[in-house]
Amino acid sequence: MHLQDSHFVSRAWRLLPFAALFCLALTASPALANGSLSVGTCARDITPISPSLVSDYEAAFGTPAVVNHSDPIYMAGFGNGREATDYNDRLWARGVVLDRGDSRVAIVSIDLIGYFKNEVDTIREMVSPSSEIDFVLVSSTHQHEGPDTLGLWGPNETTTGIDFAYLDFVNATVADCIDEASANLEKARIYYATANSAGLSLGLSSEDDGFGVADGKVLEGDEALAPATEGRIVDPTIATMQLTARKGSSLEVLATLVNFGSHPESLGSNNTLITSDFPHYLRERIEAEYGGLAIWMSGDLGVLQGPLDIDVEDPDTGMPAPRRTFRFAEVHGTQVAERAIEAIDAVRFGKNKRPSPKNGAPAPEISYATVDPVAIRLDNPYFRFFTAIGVLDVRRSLFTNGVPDDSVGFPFPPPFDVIPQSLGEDIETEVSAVRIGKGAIAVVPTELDPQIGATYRAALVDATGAEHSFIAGLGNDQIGYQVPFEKFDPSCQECAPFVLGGVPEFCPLFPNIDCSTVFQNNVGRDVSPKVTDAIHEAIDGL
Amino acid sequence: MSGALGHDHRRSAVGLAIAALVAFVAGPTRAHVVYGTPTLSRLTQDSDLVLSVRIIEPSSDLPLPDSSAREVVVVAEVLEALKGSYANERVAFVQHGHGSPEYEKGDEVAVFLKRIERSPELGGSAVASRIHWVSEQEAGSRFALNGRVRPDFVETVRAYAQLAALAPEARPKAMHRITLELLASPHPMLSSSALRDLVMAGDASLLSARDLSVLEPLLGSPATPIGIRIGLLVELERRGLVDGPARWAKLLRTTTGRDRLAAVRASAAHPSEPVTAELLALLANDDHQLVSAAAVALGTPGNDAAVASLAKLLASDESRMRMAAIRGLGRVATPRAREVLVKTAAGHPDGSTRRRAGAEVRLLDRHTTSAGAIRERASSPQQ
Repeated sequence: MHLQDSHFVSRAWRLLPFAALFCLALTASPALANGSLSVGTCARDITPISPSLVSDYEAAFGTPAVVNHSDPIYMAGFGNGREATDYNDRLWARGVVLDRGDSRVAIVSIDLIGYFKNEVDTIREMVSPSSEIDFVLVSSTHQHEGPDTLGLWGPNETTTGIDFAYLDFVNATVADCIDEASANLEKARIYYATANSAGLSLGLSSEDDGFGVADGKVLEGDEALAPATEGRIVDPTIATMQLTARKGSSLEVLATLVNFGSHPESLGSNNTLITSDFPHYLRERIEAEYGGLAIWMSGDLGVLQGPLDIDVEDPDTGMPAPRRTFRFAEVHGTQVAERAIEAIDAVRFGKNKRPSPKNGAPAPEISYATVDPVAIRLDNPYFRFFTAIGVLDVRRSLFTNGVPDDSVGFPFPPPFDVIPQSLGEDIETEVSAVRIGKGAIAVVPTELDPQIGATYRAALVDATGAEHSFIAGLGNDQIGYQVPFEKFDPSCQECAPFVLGGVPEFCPLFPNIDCSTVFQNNVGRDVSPKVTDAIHEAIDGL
Repeated sequence: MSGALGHDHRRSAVGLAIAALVAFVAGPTRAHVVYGTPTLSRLTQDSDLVLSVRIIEPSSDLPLPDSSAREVVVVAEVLEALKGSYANERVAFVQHGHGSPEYEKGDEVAVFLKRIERSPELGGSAVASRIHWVSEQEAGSRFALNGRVRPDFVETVRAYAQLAALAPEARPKAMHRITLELLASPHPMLSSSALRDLVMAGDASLLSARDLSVLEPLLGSPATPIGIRIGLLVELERRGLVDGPARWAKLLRTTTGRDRLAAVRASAAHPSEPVTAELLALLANDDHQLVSAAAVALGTPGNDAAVASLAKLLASDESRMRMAAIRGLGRVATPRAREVLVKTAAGHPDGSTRRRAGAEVRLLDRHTTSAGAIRERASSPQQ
């Protein structure tokens, strides 16, 4: 069930037709939900395969290749024109379906730079009704070493990098993945553990504070907001969720989900091998430890939080692993995994050091709430320009007063009236919250600044009593960065006609134009207030 | 997007108006990134020192006064100063940015350096007490000076550097000359930078109808990289210097292979009757990738002229083409397009096609029920 007729909070109760009544009922009567937990898992290969890379795929993975992408595959995340030449590891859609009789949610993580809401909605509509999914969460890992699914990284700035046939393949594959997981539900228990990333990196350089992730040094004056870390804005939370099933006398791990706020981009901008980056090695380590399916979900990776500027110690050499190498990705991913394993083991094994199902929850309450649509005024003339010339996915309409508005015009005054702009007023997105027993997830469509992420975590805990908070970044959409309202610098967007016209020097704000990526790839100043209002509304609806 | 030639005089005037204003202000912006990757002209303008170097140590460990800290610096042998003067045989610099270029020992590259005190983050740090230069080159700004590109690159950077020495009124003309020359460069590193200067990061004001004699051959030549041809066409169209629809149609008609695929994809944002006609003709092509790209490109709001052909494509044996047709029909979003999708969802022999078409109908109906989108689109065909 996915309702979207107007601005509302939807809930996962098929029996109660009136949303308001339903919300009151849920708040007052959580005991309505009393079934046991069932869980199914799925993993589907979504690696892009183009005709010229068929033999490379088969050589790398030893399995037959089926072409799902045209040549070339433009790699997303850094500059234009970066064409894939080979593979290191596969990209995946990895998911779990959780059911407690009264509510069924699917959580799928995809190894992609981002996925627009119109495609996520297509996936939702392709999931079989017989799967009886109430809520689908598709979160992109935002890895920077895979295909362009948004359009910005084609051969040049004016040409899209999207192959829509690949999006069709991903849509069908993710829908199949959810159907498969839903068809294989088995009785399960859920465990939660939360670790801290302090000490995961060596803290040797000015960018690295030792949390296994460095901020992107792009927001000036951050020290005012984060004095304890001298302005380094990172979220040290490594939240984990593990699902187990009893098989005979043993306890088998079905899936382990790890959630941390860091860009999967450790290979950097020169790499041309398709890879899911360090989450690949994290998943390998988790699966080697527990079996089952490992899932990486990116969190509040906001203003360029990532591993590009950290150092990690290579255990083989005792020295820092060379940055931007697969060895770095392996060491880093493995070390994050081991931090997660340590935390999970502490919960699962308890004091007697033996795994016990008693430490897990057999019947966690499952609920969700979605605010859809969330209309945000599109202030960004660069997005309007790229939409107008078809670089961004043209299927993603803008809206005016809730009506899809694909009109294009030339709204700037002379001499800039030669610059095309899409004219719709708003971009529409969605925001959700999910509760699964002791854990709660804030689902945001943005690259969320960890400063804001911290407030969402607090709201989840305060409102629901959850003990473990998760952030699903780039969840069900990707609309760009989300920075605190008070930190938003509008200069780049206000000077856009001058920049697009090629004469930034004549913008009245010159030379104080901050065109760092967080302000260019940003819907506008209203993003954070709108998303924050919606997340609170969603949390209140749990 | 309109490509009205009638705006030619106005757009030329625009160019002149801006040109009259242009004076290169050498001061830096606070930006790490001018949209996309900075162009060569922008990098040169923003740098205090541009050097041709041979990398000696790509990641040298620099101990800092705080013994627990270090910084990674690049050490290189200086081959030639392209902007500024530099007397030492070696240079050491810090790389600072989101996705800095990677270098190997022995690489001959161009590096664009600023005095480290100009860096807001590093200027007051311990690093600044030891290292004087910072490179803020980003992804895509790795300039290997191998083979034939070296002399052209050196000449280009020197030409950009010399702009600052010219009288303000002489600079636009000089920039214009450089840009036109570079667009024809056989080196993509140089031609794509010039294109980006035209599009959004440099001196976009100088193009006029007089330049078409130079640009037309580039636009029509298969030897020009397709990205340059498309970008140039977009730029000339938005300036009203060419008849856009006719040029897009010609590009679709005269390109081949991967170039044509790129042209088809790009044409989706430039709908017109001539483009629709060319795309419809391409649906009969043997290349499945090309056909599916054309089907998607035909999907412009209200483009009823494409519905019958897209409907035919739904009978294809190739899943890729059926899915593309559904995507195109969903984007057309007229009552006729919806009707085809409804029939497909109900009766297509292939289950995955029924599923995909059904999803598209439900997505359309969401918009229809909330806002009457189909009626809106039907009443205002194309852009």
